Amino acid sequence: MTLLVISGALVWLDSSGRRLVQSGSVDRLQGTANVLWQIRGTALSLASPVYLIAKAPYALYGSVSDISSDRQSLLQQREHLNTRLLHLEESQQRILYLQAENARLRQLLGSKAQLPSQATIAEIIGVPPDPERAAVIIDKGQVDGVLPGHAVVDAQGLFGQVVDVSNSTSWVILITDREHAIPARNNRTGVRMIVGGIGVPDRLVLEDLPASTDLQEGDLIETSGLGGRFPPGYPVGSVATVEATQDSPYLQAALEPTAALLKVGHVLVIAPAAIDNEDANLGEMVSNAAEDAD
Amino acid sequence: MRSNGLFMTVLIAMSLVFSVFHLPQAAPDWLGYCRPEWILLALILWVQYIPAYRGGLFALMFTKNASDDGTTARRVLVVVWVLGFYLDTLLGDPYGLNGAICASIAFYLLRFRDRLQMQTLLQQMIMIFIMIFLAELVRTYVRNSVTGQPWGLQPLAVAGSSMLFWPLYMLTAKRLLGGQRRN
Repeated sequence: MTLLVISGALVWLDSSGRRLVQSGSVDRLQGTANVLWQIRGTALSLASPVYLIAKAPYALYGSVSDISSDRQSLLQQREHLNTRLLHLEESQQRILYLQAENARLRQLLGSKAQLPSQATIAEIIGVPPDPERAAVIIDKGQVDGVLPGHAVVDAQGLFGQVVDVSNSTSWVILITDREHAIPARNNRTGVRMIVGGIGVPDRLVLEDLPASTDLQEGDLIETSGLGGRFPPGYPVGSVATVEATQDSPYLQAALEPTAALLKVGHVLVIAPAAIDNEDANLGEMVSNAAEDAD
Repeated sequence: MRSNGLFMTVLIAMSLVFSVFHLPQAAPDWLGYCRPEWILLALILWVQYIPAYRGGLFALMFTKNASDDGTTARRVLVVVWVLGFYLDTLLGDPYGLNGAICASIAFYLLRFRDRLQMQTLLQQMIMIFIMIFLAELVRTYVRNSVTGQPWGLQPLAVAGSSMLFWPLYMLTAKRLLGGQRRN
């Protein structure tokens, strides 16, 4: 009975602590909830070997595949990568030009330049087995500068965000998790919106979008940067379906995530960049409005 | 005694690994819901079929200064609760959830061990279904409250697959232990 009472108290304290951490208020954790959060950080380090062992068969399969690749396929792969490198170098040249132009325009507008984000490459070492939970475990933690709330991206787009951190590992919640929401905007029209997960690996939904919104299938939705958690401009997904019904004042729209959520092996953890004053004020206004609405 | 301890240590370590082993991407989604509760099966085998004072995990801890079965049982419950605490970390559950589940099942098994050992295989399977179904209901309720995870058929599927897996699990354990598994 004593153990059950202690367990109940722990569940309650841990749950309230989690809510604070997930809302980005780590500094508001106090007392036992803070201690539990610290314990979880340490215990996560002890759990990572189990995840590494569980992943071993897949890692072994990958190694065997690499070893058994024949010369012809390796040459083809090299040629493909060389072509891709050329394309990327060409894109980078344009990006350098655009960055310089952007800096000049910001100077003209009198707004501060955005500081570059810091990115850390991380490997996915585990996937929780529960099909209802969209999360992964990565091999970077507090010692690598990873903190709760940091955005995670892959080569194609936004992947998720860090929710729990130990010294050497972190839990990352995917954008498709039903608890996850992203401030976003339409790349074509600039209309701001909220993208939410529904627990389905290849689907996201656009929440509470008025029926009059200009939205088309194929539109690219990207992060807006509001709230300061996700850096602006990262692709989130492309619009897969748009439905307007007479019964509802809202659009029913679904997105297909651009990130390869189930296939990727490495990701980038992005520390939030310092944002300029205008964006920060706008983000704060949106946060306050959301709190008022709640 | 030593072989029992080694066997249970390996079994629990393997159960922890199986608990977090994710299926290949090509596997159908429904298969993920039919995963047996590896840790609870190992726990049931350990507590019910291999009395702690005859070996088992952390055998020394149980036997040292254990004057009676009550002291041993209390130590078993504490160790099982700590194991649940580790499982919370492993599965990302709120702390205390798996500890409460594991300790409740261990308490029931210890309390009614003599009666349970007389059960037939079918009765054992039914008992395992009920225990794991209740455990999954509690787990889903807490996850639903904390993370908004929806209710579904998962408690039923997990309990059913664990029940169906139990005969193979128990007979394999019996064979590996070479008939030492008795009270």
